[in-house]
Amino acid sequence: MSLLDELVAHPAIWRAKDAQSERLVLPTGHDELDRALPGGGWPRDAITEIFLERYGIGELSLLMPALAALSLEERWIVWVDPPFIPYAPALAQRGINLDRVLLVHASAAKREALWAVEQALRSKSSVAVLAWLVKADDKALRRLQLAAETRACWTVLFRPGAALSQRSPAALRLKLSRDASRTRIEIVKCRGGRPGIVDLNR
Amino acid sequence: MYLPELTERVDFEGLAAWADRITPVVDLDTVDSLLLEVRGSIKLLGGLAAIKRMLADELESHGVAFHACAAPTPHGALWLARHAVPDDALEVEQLPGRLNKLPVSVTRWPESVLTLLREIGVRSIGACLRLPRDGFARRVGAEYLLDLDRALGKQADPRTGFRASPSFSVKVEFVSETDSLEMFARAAEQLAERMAHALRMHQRQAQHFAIVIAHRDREPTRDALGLVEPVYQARRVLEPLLVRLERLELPSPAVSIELRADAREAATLDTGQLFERGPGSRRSTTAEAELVERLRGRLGTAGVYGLELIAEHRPERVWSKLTDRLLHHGARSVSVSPWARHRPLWLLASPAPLSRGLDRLRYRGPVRIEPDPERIESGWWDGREIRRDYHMATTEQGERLWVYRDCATDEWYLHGIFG
Repeated sequence: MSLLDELVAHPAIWRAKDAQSERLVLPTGHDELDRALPGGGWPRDAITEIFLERYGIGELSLLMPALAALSLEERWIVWVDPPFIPYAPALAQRGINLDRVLLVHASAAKREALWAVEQALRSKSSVAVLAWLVKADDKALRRLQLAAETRACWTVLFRPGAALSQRSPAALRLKLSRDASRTRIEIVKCRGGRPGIVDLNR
Repeated sequence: MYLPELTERVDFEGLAAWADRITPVVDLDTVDSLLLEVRGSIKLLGGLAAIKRMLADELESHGVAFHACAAPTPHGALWLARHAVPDDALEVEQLPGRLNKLPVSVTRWPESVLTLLREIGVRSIGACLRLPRDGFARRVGAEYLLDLDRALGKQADPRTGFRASPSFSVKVEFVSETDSLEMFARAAEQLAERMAHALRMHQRQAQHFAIVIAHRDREPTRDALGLVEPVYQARRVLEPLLVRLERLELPSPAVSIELRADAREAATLDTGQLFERGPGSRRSTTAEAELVERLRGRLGTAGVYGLELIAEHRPERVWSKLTDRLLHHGARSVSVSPWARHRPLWLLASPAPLSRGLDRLRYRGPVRIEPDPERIESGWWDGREIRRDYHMATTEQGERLWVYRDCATDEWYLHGIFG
C-alpha cells in the first residue's frame, strides 16, 4: 500500500464518501441480508415493501436489529395499524427503547392510515415508520416515497402477498416466507441491486 | 368583618374572582352567598358604604339582586343578610342586639330542627339564645349550638379562602355571525396570539384548554383541547386549535369564540443553546409533541399512544398503553424480568382458544407444541389469578406461536405470535 493509502485507511480519518453511504443505508444486522443489498443495508431514503401471507414468520425479528439501533436516537419509531399488539417486553428484550415507540391506530378508513404515515414521514421527529397497509395505490405510494426521500426516515410497509402484482415506486420489495428451520427472504425488486433469495437460518 | 350576599343564578366563581379587588379573602359559603372579609380593605377603599357601592355597581351590571350585610362573624353577617334588612353590626358587642330579632329561619338549619324549635315556641334567634345551653345541645343538637356561638363570636369560625384557579381567557367576537372556516381560522390566529401573550406575561404554560363558541339563540357549544405537554407558544396552540375547529360541527353560526386555559404551571421558557447539541435539544421534543398532537387531532387521543412496561408477571398485564406523559422520557424504570424467557413480538388482544381435532391442537391447521413449558402463576391478590404453562408452538406453514395451557381448565389458548 502506498503511504497515502495507509494514511487514509487510518480509522481516525473520516471520508465524505463513508458518511454519505452511512446516511442512506441502515445495516440490517443480518450479515447474509446485508451482503445481498446494495450499500449493505436497508435503504433509508426510500420505501421498503415487505409482502407476507401470514404472520409469525420472522417479519418483525428481521427489523429488530436496525430498530434497536435507531431507538437510541431521540425520535419516534412509529407503528401504524399493526395487526396485533406489539408486545412491550419482547421489544425490550430485543433492545428497543420503549420511550421511542409510538403506536397509531388509524380507523378503518384507509385514507387515514395513509395520511398518518405521511405525517410521520414528514415530521422531523420520526426516525422510522412501520405501517401495515392493506390497500395503497401507486399514486399514494409515490407520495410516501417522496416524503421518505425528503426526510431520510426509514419506511417499511407490510402488504398482503396479493399486492405484489401492483406497481410500486418502492426501492426494495421483499417477499417473506418460512418453513421449519429458516426464514426465506425473496428479493423481488432491488434498486441498485439484483433480485435473489436470502435464507436466514434460525 | 364579613359581607355576605344573597344572589341567584350567578357565576359565583367569576364573582369571587372579581371580588379580589375588594379583598383577597373570599369564601363561597353556600350555594347562594359569598363572604368577603373586608376589615383590611375598609380604610383603603373608603369605608363600608363605598365597598357596598362597588358591589352594587358590579352586581347590578349583571342584573343580579343581592343583599349585603356586614358583621364581625361569618354566621352573623350571613344571617343578617338573609334577613334582607340592611342592618350592619360593626362591633361584636352589637351582634346579640341585631341577631336577637332575627327569625330562626335565617339559619337555614334543617327542617326537622326548625320544626322542633317552633313546637317549643322558639321563633327568634334571641329565644334560642335564652334556652339553657346543655338542654339545647341535647335536644336540638350540639352543632347548632356551635353555630350560635360562632355567630356571636364566642367560638372561632375559620374559613379557607377561595382560590381562583389561574385561568386565562381570550375571546374573539365576530362582526356578524358566521360559520365560515376562513373566519374561524383568522379568529384562531388571534386567539392563539393573545393567549400566548397572556401566558407569557404571567410566565405560565397550559396544557388543557376549553373552547366556547357562542351562538345567538342557543346554548354555547363547548369543546376541549388537550395537548401533549404544557405550552405557551402561539404556534403550539394554533395548530391543534385549527384542527379542532375544522372538525367541530356547529348547530348554528357562531357569534364569538372564546379560548380558556387552565394555566397552573409556571412556564419553563426555552433558552437558546450556546453550543449546537444535536437531536437531544429541546427543539426536537417540540417536534415530537407536534406530531402526536397532529395525529391525535384527526385520529383521536385514544388512537395514538406509547407503550409502558409494568412490574407484573401476568403476560397480558405486563404492558400498558401510555397516553399521558408520552414525552417524559427516562422517567420509567421498569425492566423485563430476567426470568422471563424469549417473548413473542406480537400479543393477541385476548387469548384465542385452540381447537382440538384428531387428537391434535389446531390453529388454522395442526399445531406442534414444543415441550418444556414456562409456568406463570400470579395474581392471587386481586382476583385475577392465572396458572398457565406457556409453550412455543409451530404450524405446518412455519408460523411460530406462543400458546398456553390453562392449568385450572386444561384448555389451550393462543396468546402471542413470534413475529
